[in-house]
Amino acid sequence: MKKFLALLILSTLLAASAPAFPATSRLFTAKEIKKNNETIYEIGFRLLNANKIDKRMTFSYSTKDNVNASTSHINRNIIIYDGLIQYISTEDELAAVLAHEISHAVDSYNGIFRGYLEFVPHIFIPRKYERKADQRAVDYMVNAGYNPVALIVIMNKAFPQYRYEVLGTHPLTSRRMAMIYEYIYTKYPAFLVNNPYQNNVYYQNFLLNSEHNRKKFAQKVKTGSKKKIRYDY
Amino acid sequence: MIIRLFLAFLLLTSSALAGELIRDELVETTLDSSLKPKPYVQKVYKDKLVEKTLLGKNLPMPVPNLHYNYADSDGVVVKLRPKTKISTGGKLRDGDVVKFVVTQNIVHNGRVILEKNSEVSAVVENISPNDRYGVPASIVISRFSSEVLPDKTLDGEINLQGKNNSLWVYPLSYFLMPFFGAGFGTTFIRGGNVNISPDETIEIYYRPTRFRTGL
Ligand SMILES: [Zn+2]
Repeated sequence: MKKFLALLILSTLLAASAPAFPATSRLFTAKEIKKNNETIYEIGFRLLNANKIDKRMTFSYSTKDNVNASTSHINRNIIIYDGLIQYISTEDELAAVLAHEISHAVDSYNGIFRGYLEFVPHIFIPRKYERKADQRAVDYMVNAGYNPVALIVIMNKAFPQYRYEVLGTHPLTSRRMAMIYEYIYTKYPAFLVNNPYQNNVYYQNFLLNSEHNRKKFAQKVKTGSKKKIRYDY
Repeated sequence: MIIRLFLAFLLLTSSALAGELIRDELVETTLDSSLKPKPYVQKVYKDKLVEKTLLGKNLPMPVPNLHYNYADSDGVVVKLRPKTKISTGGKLRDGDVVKFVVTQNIVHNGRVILEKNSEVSAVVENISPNDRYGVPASIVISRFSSEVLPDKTLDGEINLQGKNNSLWVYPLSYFLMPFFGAGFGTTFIRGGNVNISPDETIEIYYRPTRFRTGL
């Protein structure tokens, strides 16, 4: 009887501490997202509210087939293009894309003239701001109850791999994913231990193609170094 | 009628042709007929780093901020100063915890809820280092907490950017370029770091009822 009681107490304790999201966490299915633009706005505003972002921005959907999303520096309108929507298969993945753009829009409020001149440093060192937007996207997702691993999933699924970084505005996708992985590992490790995306075909492919970069990071964890890793192509 | 006849013709000829199978004699005479291809099994890649370093540790899942009641304006200002200098130019990294000190007794509903000189922690959410072309560093600090107050009742964020030198570095480099490319040198000028010294005051809020759990 005592054993039974102990088991009962243990199991209720375990259930109470289980890292489950509230039932209301996911609002939409992929089908609903593809069918109804309103889902995009709702997820966007949920990210804003949960992160206490008091800067105004709006969200919209474009029928263009670019596999992309963008933020207008002029009016802080975040556009997600149909080409990218076609790749979305979970609400987490859509939240990942929106959270990245929200970070750009928040940054556009910094500086003089209501942030009007803030585009200047973005012209010279765009990749620095992309890195920050990826990292803030992880924070925003976690605060809004989304799984940040989905940022890696959507990138590996939809973002192509260029050869050289110097020519582009974004870091190479392989590097971005490695940096995001490092960021999640460092700040929110629970998501990697309890990872519902572990067997997801796109995440599995990330584990395959990122092995050399994850080895670099494992070395950093082992030595406790704080130096920035230069991730490989 | 013509179509039916044509179909019947097709059927007849194809069954006749079916008898004319071409055999691979080499395979039949030299290979074991019981050989079968192995069924395809999806390989599962494991994350060894996670298994080695994280598994079995008590890692709490972050609690999402889904239940703020923004209509609830009950709250008092909490004034803090950093315990030690906070700088984007030093050893601070994303996820590090920084300490602050309360500069005066904080009173709510006639009761002191935080005493002067008590400690408040916060998380360095993100550091973006300064860069060439005068690009400034930036820092975001949030998740303020005190051991004597319930979770998520301290509300505030530090979001600062260093001096943005890109606004003059670019024009300068442009003007200096005709002089033997001297403008190129100016592109190495970096933007400013963010420094918060221990005598600077930071204001956050104590909001006891705005965040509601268990909803
Ligand atoms: Zn971006």
